Amino acid sequence: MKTKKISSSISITILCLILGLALSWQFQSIRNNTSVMNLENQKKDDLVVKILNEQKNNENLKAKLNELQVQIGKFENASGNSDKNMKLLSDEINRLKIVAGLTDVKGKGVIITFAKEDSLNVADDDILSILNELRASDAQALAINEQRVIDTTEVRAAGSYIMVNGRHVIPPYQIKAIVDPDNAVNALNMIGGPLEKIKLFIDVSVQKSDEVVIPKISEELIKTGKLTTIESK
Amino acid sequence: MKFKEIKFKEGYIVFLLAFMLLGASITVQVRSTVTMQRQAAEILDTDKLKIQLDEKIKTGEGYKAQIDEMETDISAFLAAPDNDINISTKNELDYLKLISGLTDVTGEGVLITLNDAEMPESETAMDYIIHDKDIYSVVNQLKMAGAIAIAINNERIIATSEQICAGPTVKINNNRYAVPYEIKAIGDSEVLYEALKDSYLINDMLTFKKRVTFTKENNIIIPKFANDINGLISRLEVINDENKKNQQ
Repeated sequence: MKTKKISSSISITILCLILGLALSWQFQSIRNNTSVMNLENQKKDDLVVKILNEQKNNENLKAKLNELQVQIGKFENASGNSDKNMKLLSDEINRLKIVAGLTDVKGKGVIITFAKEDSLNVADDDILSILNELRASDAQALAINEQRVIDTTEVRAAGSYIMVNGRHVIPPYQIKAIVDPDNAVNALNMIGGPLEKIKLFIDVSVQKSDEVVIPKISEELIKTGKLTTIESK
Repeated sequence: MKFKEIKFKEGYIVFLLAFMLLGASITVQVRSTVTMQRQAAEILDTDKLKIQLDEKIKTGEGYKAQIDEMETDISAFLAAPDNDINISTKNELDYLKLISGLTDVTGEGVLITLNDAEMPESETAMDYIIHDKDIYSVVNQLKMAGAIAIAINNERIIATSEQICAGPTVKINNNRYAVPYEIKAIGDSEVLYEALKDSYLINDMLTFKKRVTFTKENNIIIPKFANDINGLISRLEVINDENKKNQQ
């Protein structure tokens, strides 16, 4: 009788042991599966982001390509005709002058004004973050007060005043941009946008305007020393 | 007899429990296998995505090759002697292209790399990654030190180039880039280097263990602005002094 009881409890113990092992092995395998799955999903997300990036980059290239196609078409059309050639060239020169910021320009846009009495609180970061947001809204011309912003334009807080293009800017500080006014205002005012923080300390206003006037850069501010052009093959 | 009955019942309960567990365990196993199969389908999906990505990259390369070809054609046209283009016009065109960032340029300068801290704590991760502000602040610092040409990940920085957060990437000239960021600047390499060495911006980044390096270089190569030019000026109307005078 006793031996029977013992043998049955031994068999149950063994059964439970096997079951326990099976269970723990099972959980291990499930945990593995989920971690592999997460990794796969992560990879997939990365791929989707990369594909979208490439797609966007390709759109930009396509636009550039179309532009060049039009230009070449014009050149071919003018081939052998020196009047037409000269016209094309002077058009191209005028276009590049606008790109380089060598012309006064006007257009629809926004004007951001920091109240004069708060001008001591305006930091270079505030101006930089607004400029960056305007650029992200596809601004085509920018100025800080009367200083045109070009590729080498710095914003420097020097004590109690701000310097742009190496020149003092006199308060009230104003940032002017030729840009889609609605896009720009939305971008500047969005939650987490640049104005949210600035408005805590500074009285700043954003106005849409149908005619923002942006001055040209003074030519003596354009630096090309240290640059060597690499000729295209 | 009585004993046997009790023993039978004991065994019954134990076996009931054992088989319940077994049943549950089998169910879980089956479900796990099903998800594994579903996952296999997703891997297939991943392969498809990879192919799609390769295609897009190929298309982009095709465009780039075409663009290069056309630009060569245009400069060949401008250089052709039978086109009556005088030297000064050609020089003006070259100068305007140079200052607009429309030529590849080389010169002495600095090379900076910015990367997130290694394995940041997830709760405070935002402090340890490179933000758009880090990038445009460094760019501003370089401009203060007299940089003449700047590129980030080979995107030429022009007057209207944004450097703005777009999810896990930063958008520059409408193209998106993830870390690491490589900023190249041409200028007086000594001055640029010293400005970076003394920069509180760089120090702050290093405090958060962001991986920042910068070196002086003799031969920095910065590519031209690659997007279309019409997109830079389509909204601009030129105010021309001479036109005004003529109208009056």
